Amino acid sequence: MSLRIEGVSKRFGEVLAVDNLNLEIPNNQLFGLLGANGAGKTTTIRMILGLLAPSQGQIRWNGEKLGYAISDQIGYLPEERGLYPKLKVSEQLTYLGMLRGMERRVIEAEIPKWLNRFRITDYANKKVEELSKGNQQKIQFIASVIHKPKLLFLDEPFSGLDPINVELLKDVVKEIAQKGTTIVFSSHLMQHVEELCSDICIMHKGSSVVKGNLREIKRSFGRKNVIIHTDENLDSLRNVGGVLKVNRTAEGYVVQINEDSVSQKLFREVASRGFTTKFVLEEPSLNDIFIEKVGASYE
Amino acid sequence: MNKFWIVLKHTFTTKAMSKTFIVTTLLTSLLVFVVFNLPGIISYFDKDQDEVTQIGVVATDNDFYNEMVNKTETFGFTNLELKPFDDEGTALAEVQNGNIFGFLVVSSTQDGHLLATFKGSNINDNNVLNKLEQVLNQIQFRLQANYLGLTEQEAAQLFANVNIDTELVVNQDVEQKESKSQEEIVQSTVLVYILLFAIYFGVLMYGNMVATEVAKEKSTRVMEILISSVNPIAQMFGKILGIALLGLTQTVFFFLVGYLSMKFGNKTLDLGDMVIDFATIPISTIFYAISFYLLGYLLYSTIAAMLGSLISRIEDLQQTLTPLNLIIVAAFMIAMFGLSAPDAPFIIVTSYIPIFTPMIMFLRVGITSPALWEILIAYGLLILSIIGLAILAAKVYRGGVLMYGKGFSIKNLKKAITFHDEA
Repeated sequence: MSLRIEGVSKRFGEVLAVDNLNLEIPNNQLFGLLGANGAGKTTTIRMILGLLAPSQGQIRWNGEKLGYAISDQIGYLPEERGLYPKLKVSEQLTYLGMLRGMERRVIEAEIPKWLNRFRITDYANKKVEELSKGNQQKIQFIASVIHKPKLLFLDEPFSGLDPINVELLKDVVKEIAQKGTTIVFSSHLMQHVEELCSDICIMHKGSSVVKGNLREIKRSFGRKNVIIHTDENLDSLRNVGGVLKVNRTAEGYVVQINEDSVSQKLFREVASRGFTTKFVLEEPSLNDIFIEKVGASYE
Repeated sequence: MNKFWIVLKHTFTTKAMSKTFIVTTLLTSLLVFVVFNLPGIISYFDKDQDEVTQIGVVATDNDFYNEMVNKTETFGFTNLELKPFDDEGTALAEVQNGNIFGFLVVSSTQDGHLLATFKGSNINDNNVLNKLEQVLNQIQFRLQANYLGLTEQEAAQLFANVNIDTELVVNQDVEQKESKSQEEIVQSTVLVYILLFAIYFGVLMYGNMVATEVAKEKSTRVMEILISSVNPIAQMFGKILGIALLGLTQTVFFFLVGYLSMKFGNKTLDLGDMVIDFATIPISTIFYAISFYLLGYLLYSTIAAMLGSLISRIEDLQQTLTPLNLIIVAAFMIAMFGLSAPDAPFIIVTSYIPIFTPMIMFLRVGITSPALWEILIAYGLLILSIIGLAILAAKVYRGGVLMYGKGFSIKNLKKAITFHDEA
């Protein structure tokens, strides 16, 4: 029971937007789909949704082909937001919900619950164009989940939201995932992905460069970071064997090393120099992995 | 199919409930009402017609006065009352007191001419002066006849009109057709003119509405959610037919207003020289008008929806639609030309070209009597091209709605067709 993408390619004229992509996303998972701008994420999502036909390969969900026959089980929050500016919030949600196969009275019962959850109870009878961008985004999110989809695509769901609303939305996303919805989550913001997703795929130029369980990816990445908070000048750490990079920060240094044992050499070195308020060995961040895998080819 | 109906209903109700729609419908209904009741409305405001204008007559011969009263009655000028006066002085005093409108001093010459002077408080009222002139002309006519020694009948013969009798000779080629009489042709020309205008206007207006709807959904980016829920083909036709239904509702409403005004007001429309009797409109003409209107709309709005799906910004819409609009204008112009020459070869040829058919074939069936097979061929070609275009439009639409940042071009049209399935 999973979403399987097998050898999928998509060509637009001369451009190869997606190149032989293979992915398997088990059900009931929060899956992160990452990639730089133009890496092929949106095209991939559009192919999964059946909006575009793959040039090669096939996509199956629980063994079935995705298409309009099962669109009632699928939710989609596109990266480009769009609602009818002249329609009232309740009319909007009713129309979009009915297009996902819901009954009018069921939607009308659901709307107050959702508006309440997002603390916009009073907006049911306001026109969308009167709402702030963040609130419009909440409406759009509600529109993508109101029909309780089994498979949900969220393309940059947090953009344009303030930190409080980001937390609010994260809670809702986690809750939906717990109730058994498979969620494919696409974002540029690595910290959100790290927090929400157990499995990820990083796409680059149409194919996947990293994929699998996030913890294993981090472990096997090899490189780790050592965070040092000190007032001493430690620029010379650059010369210690196994140190890849030394970055100065406001409170001290972040040193990238190629294996665990290097941290012990570093610790002795730092201790000999003077007083240190903090010395921590950390797993690499997703950000590091992303920049390493994708950024390298930019240069 | 279920979602097709949801789109259709949504398109229809949001449009029908909009203020713009309600206001235009009411304004147009008012216009229809006014047109049907124009004579009544004019006479309602034109109270003068009912008021009796009193005119004094100072005549050298008392017979003139009596004869003028007679003629006034014969002409049926009921709102003109003549009063005899013996001399100008008393008549003048009456005018100054405001008791009479004015007075006429009438005398005759030896050779049977009448000399008349009108004096009054208002000498610009042509309505009154024209009537007086008609009355005096009649009297002068009798005087002249007398002077020339003719009896009135003899004099009348001088003015007898020549009547041309018309007789239809049936051409062997067109023997099968029921030809229309001259009167019918005049009557139907005006009717066809009005209906042509309605078709032209309706097709343009509702077709543009479809394109605007599509372009709006695309430019507000709501389109991507829509096409992930509903098949674009169901969505496009839900929209097209929803607006068609809106147009029909409006048309039925206008017909109803027209019918009611006809029932309680005038049955005829007076256009100066021409009088149209709405009670005699043939049902077949109405049928042709509605069916050509609907088919014309379907053809046009399918193309319009296709073009609407290709542009990204609503600002580009009018520019993209212009060539299509010009074709419709051209069809209307050709039809206008065809009103006076419905059998011209040019008109017959263009009546088979699908985009022109709704107006030009309608013109032909409205004014002349083309053979049934001709009408059926035109219908057939029109319906076939609608189906063909619908298939093409569905393909373009499916790809076009996902393509952003591009204006309209033939290259993009081709790209949109292959966008979805490109291998």
